[in-house]
Amino acid sequence: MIIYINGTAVISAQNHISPGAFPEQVNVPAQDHFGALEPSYKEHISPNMIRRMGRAIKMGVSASIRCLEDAGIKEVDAVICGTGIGCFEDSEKFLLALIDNKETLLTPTSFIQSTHNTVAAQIALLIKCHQYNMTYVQRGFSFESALQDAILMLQERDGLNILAGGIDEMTAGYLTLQRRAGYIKKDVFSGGTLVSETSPGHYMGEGAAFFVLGSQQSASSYAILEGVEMIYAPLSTQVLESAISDFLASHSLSLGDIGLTLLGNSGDVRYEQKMTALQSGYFKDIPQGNFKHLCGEYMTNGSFALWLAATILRNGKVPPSVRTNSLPGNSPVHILVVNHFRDREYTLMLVSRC
Amino acid sequence: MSPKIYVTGTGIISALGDNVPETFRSLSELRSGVGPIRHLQTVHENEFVAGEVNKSLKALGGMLGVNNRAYTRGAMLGMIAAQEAVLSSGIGDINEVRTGLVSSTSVAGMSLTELHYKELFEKTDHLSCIDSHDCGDSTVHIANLLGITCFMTTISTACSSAANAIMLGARLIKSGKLDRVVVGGTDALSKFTLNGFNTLMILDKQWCSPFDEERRGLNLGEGAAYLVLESEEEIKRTGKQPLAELRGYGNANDAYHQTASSPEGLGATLAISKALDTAGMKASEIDYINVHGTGTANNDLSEGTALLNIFGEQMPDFSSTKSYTGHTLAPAASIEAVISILSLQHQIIFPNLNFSKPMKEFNLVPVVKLKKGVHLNAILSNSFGFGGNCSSLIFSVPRS
Repeated sequence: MIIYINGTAVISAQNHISPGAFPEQVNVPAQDHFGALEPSYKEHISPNMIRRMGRAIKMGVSASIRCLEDAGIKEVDAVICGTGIGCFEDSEKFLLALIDNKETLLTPTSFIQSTHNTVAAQIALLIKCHQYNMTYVQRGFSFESALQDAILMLQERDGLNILAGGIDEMTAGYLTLQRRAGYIKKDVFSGGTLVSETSPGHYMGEGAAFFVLGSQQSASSYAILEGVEMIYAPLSTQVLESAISDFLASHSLSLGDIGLTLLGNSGDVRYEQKMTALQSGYFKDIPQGNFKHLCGEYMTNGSFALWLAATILRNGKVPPSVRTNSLPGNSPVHILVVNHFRDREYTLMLVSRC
Repeated sequence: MSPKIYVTGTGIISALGDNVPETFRSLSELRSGVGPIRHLQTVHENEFVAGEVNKSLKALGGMLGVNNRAYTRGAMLGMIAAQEAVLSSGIGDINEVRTGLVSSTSVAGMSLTELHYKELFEKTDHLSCIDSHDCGDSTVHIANLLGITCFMTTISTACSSAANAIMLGARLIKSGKLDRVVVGGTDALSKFTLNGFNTLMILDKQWCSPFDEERRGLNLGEGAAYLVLESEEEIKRTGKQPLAELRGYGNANDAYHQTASSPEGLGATLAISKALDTAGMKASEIDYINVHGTGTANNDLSEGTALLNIFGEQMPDFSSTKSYTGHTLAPAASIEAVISILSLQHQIIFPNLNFSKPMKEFNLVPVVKLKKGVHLNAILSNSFGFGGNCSSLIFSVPRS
């Protein structure tokens, strides 16, 4: 069974003109966070709904519809979403009203939209999809759990088209609290690749990336999704290394076959010992890149990494701004994404050229 | 033939009691756990009834032997129920074979966040709330308590969440990725949900009366319940006597409205027929239905229509157990799975409480008296949620 990525769409801090193109000019936000550059929503969502929807919902719905357009299909057999914090804006709105008004005079809109499954539900509603509908919410495993479910489903039944994606939003309140908890860097982002940072904290990000996955190759195919793996809190770099080689072996590959590894360096020195060790050890002879200097740190940025890997494979070139070491190799056949969220949830994704 | 999935352990904590035996006793005595609000601090405490777990945070911490300040109420409820499930399944070394955890929650750490949210911006006393607010938090605590490292994830599809956790667990075993998996859900009562449902005007101020013409809405509840699912190979290897078999499951979306169910019950009908399909069973093989039956005008009408779509004139016995537990949201499906398994084990149907008059739209009358010594082989359990998420499960007496 081969699983093809037949459509993508992404919303991030980068300026995405078309789904399969890497932005010509990299956006460096010069802040302590990477706010998403939101597209115009009005082509896909009615003005009435745009006004009511929280940003996570708008980003998720808009990316989904664009993704279906990119794949050239209108219907899917499943909608599967991953989100770390869900519709935080709506939760916060309802909660603040509840506190301020002492549990009186509340209106339901933000409560209705606060549930974590709102994005998947709104997609189903908009494209009238009565089929399988799922939402995963496990921190740095949220998007990868959605991907895992899609893979399972394609293995269970041939011929399906599945829409899977990851979404997380940032609100002013959430960002403030993350700063207060010491998770955010004290300085502003001034460019670079976030590799070998020596200070604590990361640059927070947000965004949405969606994929149409199917077992048939099409004119719009980007790449082959070989597999995904989740490793919770590996005790040492060695444990992680052996998980990576087992994962590659299960797809009949060895380390030397990897043409590019995208390592999710968040730049927080407190959580990156294992990533640094991998970079200078296990992966030292492999071309390396990062993606968090393009999208920031959030629980579902694995979806941005998958979009980047798929785009590189389709276009056959690695944008210089992605690279973090100087090894040659511009047209990789296999890309391995190694991501982590605060040194707890480690995830692997393997993507190959069609 | 599709591989068999067995249930070998169950654990539950809800308004009906702290464990499976207490739950069975309360149900057998037709004793509802829904009553005046005692633990949740809300201005509405005298206005609504709810199915609270009758334990303070300190008492929950005491049951686990942990400092309750380090955990949310939802996490502790989940830990208690998951621990009971694993103990009852007779698992010794949890990592002897590949064992995963698929949990679910809808309100997550909100019961704690809502107490301190504004202070978080000014003081540092409760800053740790930031890390326990998300849905993944309780799952990590449960996994740590049980020693599960192989696989963990969390599902949040509103009131159908735990049904989807049970379903994913079964699929992970069938695919060969796991040998056994702890599945279920947890939610604590919160001001957030109480007020949220109140703005939707679907809360009953008295005891809820599912499937009754005069029904006024739902009662909220809280709790957690988990099952241990194991593969056929594990049953053969260990020689364990399973409690039940998970035969079928179905997930569909109503795609009608963010919070309301369609009058024709499309999503529910699809979910039930998918569950029958995966089970390879005919509708006539279902002996009893534990309905979602929240007691809202909308759910019971939509679900009743779906039941008629599937079963027509041959309606099996059915009842809602929401009148005992309240609507516990994410764990509702795993709580009702535990109750359904008790029904199978004891060949007993727990009646719908507070029913007096059939709905005018159709002549559907739930079981209203405790039925003992019935023949129950297969039970359908429904769970439907906001966002059109509809899921159905089928449990049966284990086949040899």
